[in-house]
Amino acid sequence: MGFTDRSRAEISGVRQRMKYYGISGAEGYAIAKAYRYAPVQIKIQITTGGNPQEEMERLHNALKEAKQQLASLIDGFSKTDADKAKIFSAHQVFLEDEDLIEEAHNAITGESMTAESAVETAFEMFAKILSKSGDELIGERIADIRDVKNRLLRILTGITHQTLSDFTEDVIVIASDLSPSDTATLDRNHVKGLVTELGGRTSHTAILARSYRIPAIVGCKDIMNVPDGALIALDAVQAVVTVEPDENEIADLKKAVIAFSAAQKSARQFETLPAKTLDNKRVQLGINIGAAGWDDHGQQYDFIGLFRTEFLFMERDHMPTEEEQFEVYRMVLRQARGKTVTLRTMDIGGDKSLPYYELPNEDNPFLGLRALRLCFAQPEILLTQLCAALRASAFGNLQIMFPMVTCIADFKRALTFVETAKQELRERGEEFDGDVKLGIMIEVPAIALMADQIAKIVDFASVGTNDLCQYVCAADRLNANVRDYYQNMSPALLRLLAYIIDEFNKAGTPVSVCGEMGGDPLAALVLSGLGLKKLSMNEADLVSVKTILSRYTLQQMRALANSLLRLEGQMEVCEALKSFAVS
Amino acid sequence: MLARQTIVVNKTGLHARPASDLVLRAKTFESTITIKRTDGGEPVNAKSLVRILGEGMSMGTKVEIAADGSDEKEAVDALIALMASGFDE
Repeated sequence: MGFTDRSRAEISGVRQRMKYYGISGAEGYAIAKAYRYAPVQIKIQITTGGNPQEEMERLHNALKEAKQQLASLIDGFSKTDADKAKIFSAHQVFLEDEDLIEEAHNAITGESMTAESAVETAFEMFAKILSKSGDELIGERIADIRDVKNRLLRILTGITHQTLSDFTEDVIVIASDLSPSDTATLDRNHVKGLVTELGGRTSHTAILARSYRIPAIVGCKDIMNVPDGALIALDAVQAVVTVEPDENEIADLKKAVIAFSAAQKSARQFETLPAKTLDNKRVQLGINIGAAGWDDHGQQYDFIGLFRTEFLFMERDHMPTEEEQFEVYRMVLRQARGKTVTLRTMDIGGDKSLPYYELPNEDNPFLGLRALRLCFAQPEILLTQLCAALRASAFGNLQIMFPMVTCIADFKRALTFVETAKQELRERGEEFDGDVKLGIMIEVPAIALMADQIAKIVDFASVGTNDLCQYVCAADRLNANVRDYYQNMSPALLRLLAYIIDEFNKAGTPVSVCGEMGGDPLAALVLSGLGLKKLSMNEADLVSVKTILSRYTLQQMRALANSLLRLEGQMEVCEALKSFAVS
Repeated sequence: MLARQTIVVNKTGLHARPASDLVLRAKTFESTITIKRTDGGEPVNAKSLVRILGEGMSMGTKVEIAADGSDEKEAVDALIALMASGFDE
């Protein structure tokens, strides 16, 4: 008769391993002892019966001291951690808020509240006002207000703050929640991970953890049940905390820590460096944007290959005015700080709907009156956009690109619109860059096949591989029924791309790809091999493209691309790419 | 009393940092200054960060800045210019 594992465990008193689940706040792995962070919650009972004069003095002394505390925190972080300095600067503005302080004053003079009660009342009142606004980021601001409130209350009540600033061994901090003040002096050497009961991906804990590259799990229910000092394994990728892991789990986790850290280091290398092949040939990488601002996470890139302007026309109750467009375009050029921005004129058709303008009701909107064609039919739309774009051109490096160009005549017609817009601006005395470069999207097969001629006429072009593939394969890329026919790695499309790239290179006219293919690492290899020198993609794809380009010489990429052109179909191409990647 | 309208152009709207910048700038003027959403909002004190944040002015919101006092013209001009600049974001 044998004992089961479970009964053996019960007999020897070994605790069952507990797991806790949450949301990943910052990816990574860690294994260390848990440090329970549970600072005293200052709960204020609203009390009256204070001496107003005394309480006012106490309030103002507390405000003064809080300002000093914040000033020294900001000073300390000004050179080392700009983000923290910014947070505490915002806290200072709250401390000096006229209306907030007036509320607190009124509570003291009008209702004879103690200073603590006045602070609690005033701050909570505003926290409530903020929570009514619909803003996404408002949760962070409410947390900021409460952080400032607690700072004042600690000063008034004399309760000291448990800090995370000085550990003698590695720990994983577990807490109900963490505020900027809690983490202001975080010991980054010893804190290997963070777990909070509350919070989500955009809460302070997650943002801080990502910026410090410490793994973190948020929204982890019941994590405060974990005893102080227990060994915990933190998997912030799957978002699981394991208490008292066994030997195997520990070994696995240690391996994961090493692998993750190596991958991060390698990725970080590429973030700030320009793209280069193994034999040091530069490849120009750009990003695609579709809004008035973007977060590049400090990454290096060479240009903005596609500035989609549809957002200005959609989700609006009126056609965007020239003024509204101009302000947005100028902002984009400012943020680009000298990098070339390629603005694509409005690319909308019957597949979308606009509340203020009735788009044609067509059976085949993708083959219908859309984008430039629609603009030719409704000249005001294009003229307004061009006037706004030209005015903005005075503030940076702007290029204008026309979508859905079907033939050379389309481009020439678009040029007359540009001339009209320039003439109007001259008459109005508005400034603009007279040398704005003008180019086209290559997405309609008809113009792609005329690459040899169009390359001599335009200043530049960008291939919209998504739509080009759709038209070449005659398959709607959004139609699940024909997904297998949308073949963007078929020799057919590659041959057409090869032709376009060849002709543009021959003519010395810049050409880029701005469709999804540009951000796909294997496709990027092939495109570079076909002679493409510029690729534009989502900012999130920059690192993986840079990484793969760095592994091969241009010659290798050329050989690969040429071999693919001779294959029979997409399946063979994908297999060839797979074998190439592993060799 | 002087008032002018403009649009919020930052992608993330008038959130903490731009709102702080607006408040700090507003405080340099003597006039009383208010800001309100033109779509039926009440004017709020432009020198109070919490009041501005409470209005939730996202990108595209049309707002009116009004000032009343000895330096009302400079105040309105400066704040309109600050908002149009997108706060350098």
